[in-house]
Amino acid sequence: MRQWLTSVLLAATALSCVQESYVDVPAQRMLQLDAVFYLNAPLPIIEVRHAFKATGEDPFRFNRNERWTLGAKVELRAWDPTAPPVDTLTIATTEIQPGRFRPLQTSLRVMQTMHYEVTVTWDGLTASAKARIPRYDPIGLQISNDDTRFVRRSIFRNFIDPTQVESPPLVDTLDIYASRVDIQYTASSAFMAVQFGTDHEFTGYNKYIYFDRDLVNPSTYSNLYLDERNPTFKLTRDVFGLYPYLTSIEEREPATLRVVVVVPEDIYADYARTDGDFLLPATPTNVKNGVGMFIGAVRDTVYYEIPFFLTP
Amino acid sequence: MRQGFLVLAGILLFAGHLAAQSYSISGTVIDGQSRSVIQGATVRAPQLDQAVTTGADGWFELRNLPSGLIRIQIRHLGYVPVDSLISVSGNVRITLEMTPQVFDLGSITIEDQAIQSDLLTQTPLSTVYIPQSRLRQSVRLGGEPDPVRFIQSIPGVKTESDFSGGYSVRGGRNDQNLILFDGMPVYSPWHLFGLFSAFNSQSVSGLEFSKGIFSPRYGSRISSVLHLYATDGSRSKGLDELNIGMVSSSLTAGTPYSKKGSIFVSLRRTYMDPFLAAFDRDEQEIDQRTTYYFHDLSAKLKHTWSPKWESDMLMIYGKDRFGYRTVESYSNLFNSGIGDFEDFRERKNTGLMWENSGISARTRYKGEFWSMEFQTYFTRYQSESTDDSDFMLDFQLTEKVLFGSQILTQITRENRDYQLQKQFDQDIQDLGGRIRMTWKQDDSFTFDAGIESIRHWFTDRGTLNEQTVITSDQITLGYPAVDLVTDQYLSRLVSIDLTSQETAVHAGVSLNYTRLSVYPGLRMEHYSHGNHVKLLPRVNAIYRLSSKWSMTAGYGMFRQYVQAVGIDLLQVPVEKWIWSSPSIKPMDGRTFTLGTRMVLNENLTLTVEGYQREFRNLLSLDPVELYAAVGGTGTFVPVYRDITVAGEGRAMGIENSIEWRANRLSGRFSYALSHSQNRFQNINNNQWFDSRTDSRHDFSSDMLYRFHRAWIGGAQFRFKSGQPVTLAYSAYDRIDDPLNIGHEFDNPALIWTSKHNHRLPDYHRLDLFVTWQSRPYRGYATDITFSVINVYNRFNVLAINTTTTIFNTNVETSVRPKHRFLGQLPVFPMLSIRIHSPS
Repeated sequence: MRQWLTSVLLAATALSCVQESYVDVPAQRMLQLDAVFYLNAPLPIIEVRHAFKATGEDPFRFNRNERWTLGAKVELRAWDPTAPPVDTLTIATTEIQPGRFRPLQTSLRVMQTMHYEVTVTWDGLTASAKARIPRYDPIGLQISNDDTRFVRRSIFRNFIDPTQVESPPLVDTLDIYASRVDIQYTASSAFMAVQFGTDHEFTGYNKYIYFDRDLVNPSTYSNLYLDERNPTFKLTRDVFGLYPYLTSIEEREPATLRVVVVVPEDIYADYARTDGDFLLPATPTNVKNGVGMFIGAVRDTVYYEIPFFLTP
Repeated sequence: MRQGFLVLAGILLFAGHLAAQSYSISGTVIDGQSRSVIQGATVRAPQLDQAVTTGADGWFELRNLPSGLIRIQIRHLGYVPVDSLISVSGNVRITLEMTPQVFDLGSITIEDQAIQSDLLTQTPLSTVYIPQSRLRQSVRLGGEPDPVRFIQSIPGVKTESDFSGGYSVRGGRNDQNLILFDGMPVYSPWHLFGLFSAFNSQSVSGLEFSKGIFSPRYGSRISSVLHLYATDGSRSKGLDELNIGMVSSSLTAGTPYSKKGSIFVSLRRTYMDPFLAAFDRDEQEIDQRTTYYFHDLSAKLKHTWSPKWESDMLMIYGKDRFGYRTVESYSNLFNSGIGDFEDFRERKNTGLMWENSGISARTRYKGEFWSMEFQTYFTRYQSESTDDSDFMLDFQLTEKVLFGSQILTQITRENRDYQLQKQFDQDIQDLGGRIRMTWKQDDSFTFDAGIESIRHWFTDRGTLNEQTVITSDQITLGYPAVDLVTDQYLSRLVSIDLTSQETAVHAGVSLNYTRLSVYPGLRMEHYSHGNHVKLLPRVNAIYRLSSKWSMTAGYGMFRQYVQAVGIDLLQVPVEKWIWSSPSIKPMDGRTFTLGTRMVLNENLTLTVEGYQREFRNLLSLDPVELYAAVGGTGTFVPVYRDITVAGEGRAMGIENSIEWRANRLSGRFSYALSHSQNRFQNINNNQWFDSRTDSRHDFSSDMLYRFHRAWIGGAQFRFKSGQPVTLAYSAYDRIDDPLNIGHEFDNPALIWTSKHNHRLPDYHRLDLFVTWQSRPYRGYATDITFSVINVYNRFNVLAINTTTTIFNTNVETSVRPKHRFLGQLPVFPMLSIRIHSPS
């Protein structure tokens, strides 16, 4: 009785403190610009959309293609501030689909020292953004693995996650080779994405390498954010190699890791860390009078060979 | 009382002649029944437009009086007013008695000049003195009046919400307010997550609150000074008072001893524990327990060595502890007969504790011209918050597998253990001492100087441990287990041990002329961590146009070396204190005030005061850090890193107040028009935005009415403009992966354009209370108070929880706007009983 009464009282109090309501405010009209200028890659397609209203009393639907602008005026310019006299190169674009603009000079490649600026005008709205290629030093990237832990034998079946629907194929016996790879990069950028891959596939009795986080999604990148007090990115990955039990030691080749590193402009760090739903003072963007990501980035691929150890 | 009149009559009989010399009337105001001194009584000479307030020892002195018959009025809330004529032909020393009144009808009063209080003297428009008797006649949220909550109805003082104990003064922040208990600084003195202050109303004999250019003898904070005076036992008679409320009860006792001193003790304890225990669950699969309690204690020993020397010792202690623990476990048997099973267990443990403690010793000397005060104290504030969770899954599956040409029985066992441990502890310890001396030549010149030094010890620990351990083995022919340790993230995020010294010297003078009073002062501060030195000039001036009309102006610079950053919304003890350092500059403030006061008639007073303020070097959490602290891990205890952004603030406003005091009815209307803004690096694109507590219009009224000998009623109404919040009006197709390194989706997301771009609905609330007091029975009287908070159940919005959903299909975008308003206190009746010895 006491619990029932207190529950009723507490529920009544809690209910009286919550009220559904609505806010109906006109949308703030603005443009959305997106493009990523990868170093040494062709100039990207520039995407132009506009924001839409998210308030009101009742739910509503609309055709999502309406968000793409049609007939926007796009001015793309490029210049190299490190090579005076600075000449601005105007790059013409063509609208291949509503809101998608492809640079006409397809032979141009994105260069390290170039700045790319766009100004878009559409329906009385104007937005602009500037992309720069961040500095990237491949020498600063270090990969090491001095923590070989064990070699054991086991039967491998449905080993990874018994709740997973997609199970790897049945293998009789395997040697499990476990190691740990450290990747370290010292830079001034605020964000780095790293992907581990391998040139060995899991086919039959060949060796196979997988990583701890790849248990769920083999293509997952690890996103690293710079700690202001320690300007070094560090990532440690557990690496597991599987060798058929019957394979002789002589036949066991060292594994080769493929490490893909992506370094974008600093603004991307805030963008990536927020999912857009959480209340933040401002949506991360580098677009003036708009939203979106119009940035430069560097992508690099490094190969690293993990030596083979055998512990009795 | 009769003795008092006899004294007065005697003086009248011996009044001889009028002389051109100036004389004084000094003495003590005492309670005619208990013979104890009365602090805070106003002694006024209306013909000469002079008034003083009695100090803690009941002492008063009126100077520069002409000879002849002087009319003296003595007023104190809770006592029958005294009007007397005193014949002055020389310096007169008398003892004046006041008779306790059954009910007092005083309102919040802005008293005139006071000898003891330079706050009241120098900033009369910005300072308010509230005696305990007035505190008792107020709405009782937790069953008893709250001294700190009371000041939140003063114009210029704003709160975040009904639930937050903290307050901001004239566009400042909560951490800019100095709170002193008998001169001892106290950090974060709140119970029940800010709903009550940690000061038991019985232990507070009165409070003084200044929001203006306070005296240079106060430092460490830049916005306001709240000085609570501890009750002593001089008016007590053993067991003094028992207060029974719906949330807590308190007991006070005190007694004078050997005519030399007194002792006083006050205790308070909540009894929410059994209430919360009603919700505990102890079932087969769920074990859930919630605990919460708070208690506080204050004790004061006062001893008078001689008429000129007295000492006191004060001790305070208050603690809150909250704990929530839940264990959920179940077992699932399948393929029974083979022994397969799935065991699941989830354990969560959240705890919060915060504690205030302090001890102070003080000695005062009061001579004819000189007075001195020596005080030393040790105060400590601790907070601990922990959030542990442990998720474990045991799994066993038996299967038949093909091994070569054999069919074997394979048993797969897996154990998953996910552990998350978060802990956030802070410990602030202050050892301080101060010496203050005052030399009062006469009413026209007073010199005040002192030195103060505080040793701060600060410890901060923030820890986040996260780990997932998967142990899996497949038992076939005895092959060993395979252990995988994944997602191991162990990090001690913050670990600070800081010792610093804050030293200040101050000096000020009081210059009083016929129409003009000027109070210039200077404070010089040094803070050791970073070697910060600053000279802080302050000046106040009062110009009397007539006996009923005065103008005031003030200018002051202020500085503080510690800031509290955290979540804006709730005043929970998980805010982070950050001290100045070589890289973090102290917070500076600058204030200018201008005001006027008019006595419209004997019962009606109008005051108007404007202010303009600037703040520098304010700290705030980096917005992304705030997200990481409160949202990133999705648990209650935030994990802060030392990443802050610096900013500034500005505020201006005008406060108007009209007070009246009639026989049965007294009250006050006040209206404040104000605007306050902030600007921080990396927030709102470095642009100014309205601060969280900016409410443009603020109206409040308080009324007390005695409608019967034993009945008194009161009402309090408050209106303020809606607080600013940040709201998204638009959305866009946020590309999750513009780098094209994983998956690319067009995922609609809300657009947050600017901070505090939306206003909540206006806030208003009416509170009523009525008190009935019995006649004394066997030496004790009983008060029964019935309060109703938010009488008409206004839904005042605390926050907006936006759960708008937007999703794309192949051809369409669907938008479902949804906002949920979280409300503040609904209609809330409270009953409390007070059993006390008549005073």
